[in-house]
Amino acid sequence: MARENLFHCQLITPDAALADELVSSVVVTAHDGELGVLRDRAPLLCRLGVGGLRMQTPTGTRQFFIDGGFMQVYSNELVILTPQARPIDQIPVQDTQRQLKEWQEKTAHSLAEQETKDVEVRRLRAQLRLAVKNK
Amino acid sequence: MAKARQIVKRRKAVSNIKKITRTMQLIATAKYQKCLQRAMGTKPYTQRITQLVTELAGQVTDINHPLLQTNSGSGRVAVLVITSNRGLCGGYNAQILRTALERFRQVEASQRQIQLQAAGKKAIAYFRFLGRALHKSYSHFDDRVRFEQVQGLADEFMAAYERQEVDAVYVVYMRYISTARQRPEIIQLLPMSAPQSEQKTTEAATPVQYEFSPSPGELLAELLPESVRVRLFQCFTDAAVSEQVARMVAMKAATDAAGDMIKYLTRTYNRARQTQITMELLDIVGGANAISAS
Repeated sequence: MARENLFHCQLITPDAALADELVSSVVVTAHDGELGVLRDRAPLLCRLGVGGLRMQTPTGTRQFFIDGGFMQVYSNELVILTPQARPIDQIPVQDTQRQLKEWQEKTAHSLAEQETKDVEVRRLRAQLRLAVKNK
Repeated sequence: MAKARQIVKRRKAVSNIKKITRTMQLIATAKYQKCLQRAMGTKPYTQRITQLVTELAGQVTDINHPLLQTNSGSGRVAVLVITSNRGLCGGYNAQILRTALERFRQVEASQRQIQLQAAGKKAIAYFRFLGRALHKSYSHFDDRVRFEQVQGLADEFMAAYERQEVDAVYVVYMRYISTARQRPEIIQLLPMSAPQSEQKTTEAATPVQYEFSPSPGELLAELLPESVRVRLFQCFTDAAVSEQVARMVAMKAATDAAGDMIKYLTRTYNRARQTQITMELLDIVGGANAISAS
């Protein structure tokens, strides 16, 4: 792969920096749908959604689940800040299925509880979708 | 021989204590390394969030967010005191609690009530002893604090502030500066100080023309709560590192003191034993002399 097509990409969570490498393209779930980034993209500040992150590196593809956050593109440097991220191959499918079932069966007694339930269900569904797709 | 035997017993007890304090010192050292690694791991996220807020502040002309506005109606101030769950860490907890009490006095002098929240069993026990009402107490934060745990707490603070139940939120914790220096500190979590754009402070050439999605105002409205969460998380990670450093230092001092005491007791024992032998010899010599004289 031509080196001139590469740019720098970092995935940072509050606990640690999960990825810091040269990539040729990135596809990330933004707040309004998927968004692709290539080298020499114009500066961008964007809110992220709950879903997948796909990094095309010279050695292969790396995929993560991200739980919202923010993205900054500036001068061939892409920074993804997310409160929670996980490599897709590390998502435990059975555990996630069980958790999803538990949350779906839970009864919400207030508006706040309903909101928490919706967020959790959406998050678990996204994880499950990515994990199953990856198999 | 009674005294010498007592000294031997005591020396054995001290040597057992030394073994325990030495082990605790080693454990604290290992935990300190882990905590420090975690605390350093959180830094890039914190720095980037702060940087994004600064970048956005330059693009939004009229920043108007509930977390930036000053409340003054409730007459209540929330104070979160972060201490450890366990003791044997020298003056760590005492320093934090002393700083907290000073702030309480200042707040009460300005005719405002304190809504006290305590994290760590030591703070909970101390404020119960003082008879101060605890609004909420948390003892589940250990040396491996997770962001999700702190996120919930920060969200509660922000919700209370937005409902105007409190006028300000302060956090009292031990700030980690270096292995040799930690300092009890009070930070004002809410209201936030208005973010300053980089252009205003450093007079950089031309600001970067970003494409925003959604609008800068909406992005900033989402970033401000995140920066509050991150700041609170930083307080907890700093407190965890400081606690382990304090425990490490305290246990090293205890181990050294035990070593000194063992040396002193050994010397005293040898002297007591020697005295005993001399006394016995004197008795024998005295007896022999008495017999030969008669």
